[in-house]
Amino acid sequence: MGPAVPHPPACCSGPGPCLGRGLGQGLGLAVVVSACGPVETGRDAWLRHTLVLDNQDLLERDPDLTAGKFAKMSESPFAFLRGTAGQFARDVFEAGGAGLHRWGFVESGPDDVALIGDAHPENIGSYRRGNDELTVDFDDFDAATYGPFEFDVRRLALGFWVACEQTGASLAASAGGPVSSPSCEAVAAAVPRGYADELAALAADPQAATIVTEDAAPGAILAALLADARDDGDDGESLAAYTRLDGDVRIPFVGDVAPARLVAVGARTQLVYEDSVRAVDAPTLARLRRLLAQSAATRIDPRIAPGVVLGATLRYGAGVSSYPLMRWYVLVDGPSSQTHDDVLLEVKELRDAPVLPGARRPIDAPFDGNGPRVVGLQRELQGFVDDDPWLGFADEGAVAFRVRELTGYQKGFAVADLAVALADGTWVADDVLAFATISGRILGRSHARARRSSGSTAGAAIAEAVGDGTLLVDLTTEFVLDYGPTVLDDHARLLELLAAHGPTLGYR
Amino acid sequence: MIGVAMLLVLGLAAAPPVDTPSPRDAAAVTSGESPPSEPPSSEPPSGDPPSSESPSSESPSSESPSSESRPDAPPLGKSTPAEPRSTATRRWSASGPWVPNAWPTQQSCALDPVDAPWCLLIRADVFTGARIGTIGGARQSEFRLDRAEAATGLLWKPATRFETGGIVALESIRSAGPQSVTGIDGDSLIVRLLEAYGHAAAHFGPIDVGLRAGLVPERWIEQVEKGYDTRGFDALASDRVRMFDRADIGASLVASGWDSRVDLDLEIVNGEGRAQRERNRGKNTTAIVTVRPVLRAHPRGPIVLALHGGFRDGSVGIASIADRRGAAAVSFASPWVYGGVEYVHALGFGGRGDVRANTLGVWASGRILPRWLGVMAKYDRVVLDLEAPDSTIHVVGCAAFSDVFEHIDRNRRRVRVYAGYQFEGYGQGAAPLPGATTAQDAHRFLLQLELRGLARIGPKEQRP
Repeated sequence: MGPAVPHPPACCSGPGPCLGRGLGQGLGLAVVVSACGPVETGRDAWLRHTLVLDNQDLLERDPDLTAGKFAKMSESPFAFLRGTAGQFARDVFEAGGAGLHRWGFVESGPDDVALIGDAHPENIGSYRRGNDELTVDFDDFDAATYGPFEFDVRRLALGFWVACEQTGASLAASAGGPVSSPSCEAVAAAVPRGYADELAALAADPQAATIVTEDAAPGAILAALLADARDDGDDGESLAAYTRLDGDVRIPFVGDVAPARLVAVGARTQLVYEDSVRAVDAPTLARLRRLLAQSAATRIDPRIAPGVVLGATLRYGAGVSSYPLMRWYVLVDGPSSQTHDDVLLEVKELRDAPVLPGARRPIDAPFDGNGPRVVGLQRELQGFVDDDPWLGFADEGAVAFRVRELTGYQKGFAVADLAVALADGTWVADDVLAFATISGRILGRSHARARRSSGSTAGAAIAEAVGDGTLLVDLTTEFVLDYGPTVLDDHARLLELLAAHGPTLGYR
Repeated sequence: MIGVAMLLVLGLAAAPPVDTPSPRDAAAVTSGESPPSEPPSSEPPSGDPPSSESPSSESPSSESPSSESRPDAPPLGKSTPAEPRSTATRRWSASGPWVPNAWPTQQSCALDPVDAPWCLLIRADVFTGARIGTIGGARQSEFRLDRAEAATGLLWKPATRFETGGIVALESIRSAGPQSVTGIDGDSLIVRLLEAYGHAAAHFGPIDVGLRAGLVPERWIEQVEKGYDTRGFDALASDRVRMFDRADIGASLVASGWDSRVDLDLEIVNGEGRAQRERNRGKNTTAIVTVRPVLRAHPRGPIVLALHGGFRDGSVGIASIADRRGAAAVSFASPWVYGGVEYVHALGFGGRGDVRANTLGVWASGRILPRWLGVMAKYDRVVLDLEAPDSTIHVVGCAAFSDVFEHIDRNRRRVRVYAGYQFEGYGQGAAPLPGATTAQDAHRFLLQLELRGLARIGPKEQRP
C-alpha cells in the first residue's frame, strides 16, 4: 500500500523485460521515447482508474456531487465499502483480483440466484407492510442481479467485518477503551452460519422462513430499530422533516433538514450535503407527475393511488454510492382532505447494477430495464411483496426511476450507532453477533424463496449444496479475513488519492 | 445444425465453379482498410491451370484483360507502363499476390496520375451465424452477428510515386455494456466508427513509406491476419482476449522494403482504444518488425512465410496503468494451407498494472477439395494472471468450411460457410470462478457465415 509512485517518464519503466527500449534504440526511433509517459503498476492506480470508470458519467454530469460522493466515501472504511460495490465485484471475479478466491458452491449449486447485489448491514432496514405490521428486510436493491449466492454471502460478511473493525477502532480510540467489542472474525462467521441455518430450516419446513416482527425481534439491535421505526412512523417523522403546514395545506419544505458539511480532502475541502432539499421548477414538477402516473401500473396493489401532487423537492445528501443520483421527494394528497394522511414519495434515479465480470450472462433474465430489475427483484427477495405498498417504477427511455414511500416506518441500520451503543453499554458484543446471524438468515431466506433467472426457486438447490454449512462458513470467513484488510487499505489509498489528485481524482 | 451445414456444403459442391482468378487477380490490394484475412488464391491444388474469366464474374479485373497486359494500365505499386509484361507480372506477383492488404506497397485500385488519378472504395464484412451448446452444463443457443462492418474510402494518386486518400469504416456493437440494461431501445445493435483516417504512401526505389493518421487500425492485428485465413470462424488470440484493440486514435508509420520483404511499423496512439478518449498524458507506442524470408510467386498463388515481432509501451486510463505488450508470431500462407503461431505477453492487463498475462494462439487451415471443402483448427491458450496457479484457459476449435463462390482477393469477395465446434476449458484457478471449472467450461457448435466484398469505382476500374 502506498501513494501512487509514478515510474520515471520513459518508455521502459516498471517490472518485466523491456523489449521496447532495445527495439526503439535499434530502430533509432527517438520519437518512441518522446511519446511515452509515466505508467503505474500499483493497486492505488487500479483503484483510481476503476473509481473514475464507474463514475465517469456522473463526473461528466455533476462533478461537484460526484466529488461529494468520493469525499463521503473517504470518511470511514464502511462508507468506502458502500461506495465500492464495483471494485468488490471486480476483485472477486477478475483475474488478478485481490478477492479472487475459490468459489465453493458454483459447481454443486445454482449460479443464477437472485442477488441483493450489494448486501451489507446498512442495507438492512425496517418496513411497514400493507397490514401495518413492521418487519425488517434488505432495503436497497439498486445492485440486484443474478449470480452465485456466495457473492451476497461474502459481501454481507465482509460488510459486517468492516463495520466491526471500524467500530473496534472507534472504541479503542475513545477515552474509555473497548467496553464490549466483539471478535470481528466471529461476526463475519455469523453471517454464513445464519445463512446456512436458514437454508437448512427452510429445507426441512418451507414455512419456517425467518420473518422479523415487532413482537419477536431477534436481538437488541433489531428490536431498537423496530422501536425507533414505530415511534418515528407514528409521529410522521418524514412528513414533519420534509413538509410544512401552511394553514390547512401541506407544502414541501425547502432548506436544510441537516446542514451540509465540509469534508477535508487532502489540503482542500469538499462540500458534502447531509440532508438538504431544494425547490424544483415547473417542468420538473410536470415530469414528476408523469413519472408518478406511469408508475401506478407497476404497483403491486393498483388500488393504492396517489392523490393530487402538492409539490416536490430535490433531495441532496442521501446514500453513499447513490449520492450523486437524482432523488426527488414528491408530496401527494392523501385519501382524506386532512393533512395527516398525506403521503411523501421518493422518486429515485436508477443505474445499472455493478457488472459481475465474467459471470454468466443472464440472457434469460426477466427484465428489460432497471425499473423492472430493481423493483422486480425487490419483490422477489423481500419477505413480503407488500413490504412497501407504494413501490413501483417508471422510465424515460433508458433512464429508470424507482418510486417508494418515504416514511418514518422505514428506518435503516446505521453502523455509526454501533460504537455509540457499545460504548454506553446499550448493546453488547453478543447483540452484534445476533444481528450478523439474523442478517445471514434474512439473506438465506431471500435467496431461497426468490426465483432464479431460470424461473425456479433456489432454496432446495442451495440447501443441498451448502449442507450443514461448515464449508460455507470456512470459505466465507477465510475470504473475509484475507480480503477485508485490503478494503481497509483501499480506504487509506482513497484518502491519499484524493489528497494527491483532488476531489474528482483528477478527472478533468 | 451441423447436418444442415453439411447439406449446404454438399449442395454447393454440386454447383459449377464461377470463376477462377488469375495470379494477378489474386493480388488483393486494399489500402488503408481494416485488417483483411483472405487467402491469396482459391485455385485448385491440382495441376489444372487457372480457368479463364467467367462472364458471371463480379470482379472487374477478372472480367477484363489483366492490367499488366495493357500499356495504359500498369499494375499497381511501382510498376511502370514501360515494363514488359513478364517483368510487370513478376513485380506484381512479388509485390502483391501474397497478401490481400499490401499497403503501402500497393493500393487497392489501378491508379495512374494522368488517366486514373482517383478511385472510390466500398467494402462490407458480415460474420453471422448460430451457436448451440452448453456453458457450465446449461444449454445455450443463439443466433449471433459477430461482425457487421461497412467502409468507404477515396484514393488519389497525384504523382507517380505518391498516393493518398481517406478511409471511414463503421461497425456494429451492442448499445448496452456487459450485463447492462441501459442501452438504446433495449440493447439494440448500433453503429459506431471503427476506423477513420487519412493515409499517404510514397515510393523511393525499393522502399515504400506509408503514413496513417486518425482512428487507425492496429498494425499488429493487421499484419498477423495476413497469414490467418479463417477470421470468420474466430478472431486471433490477441484480438479475442483484447491484448490489442483493433483501432485507436493516433498515427502509424510504415516503412516497407523490397516488396514488403521487410516491414517496419511504428504506431503512436492514445492507448484507450475505440471506446474512450485520451485519459492520460502517455501515448501507446508500438514498434513492429515483420520479415518475410519466403516470398514466392507460385503459379497457383503466393507462398509467404512471415516472422513478426513487436513491443508496445503504453498505459491505460486516468491513472496511467501499465498496459504493455511483447509479441511474436510466425505465419505461413500458401494456396493450399495457412498456419501460424502467435504469442503475446502482457505487462499490465485489464486495468491492473501489476498483472502479467499471456496468450498463445496456433492455427492451421487448408483445402481438401479446392473451394468446396476446407478444414481448419485453432488453439488458444490464455493465462490472464500468471501468478495464479492453474489459471489457464484453453480454447480449441475446429471446423469444415466451404466457399460458396470462388474467392477473389482483389475484390475481397468471399461467401464462406463454416460448420465447427469449439471448446473452452478453464483451469482450477482461472477467473472468474476459480474452483468451479465445470461451471465455466463451454462446448459450442457453430454454423458461421462469412460474407465479404470490396467494390472499386474509378476510371480504370470496371463495374464493381
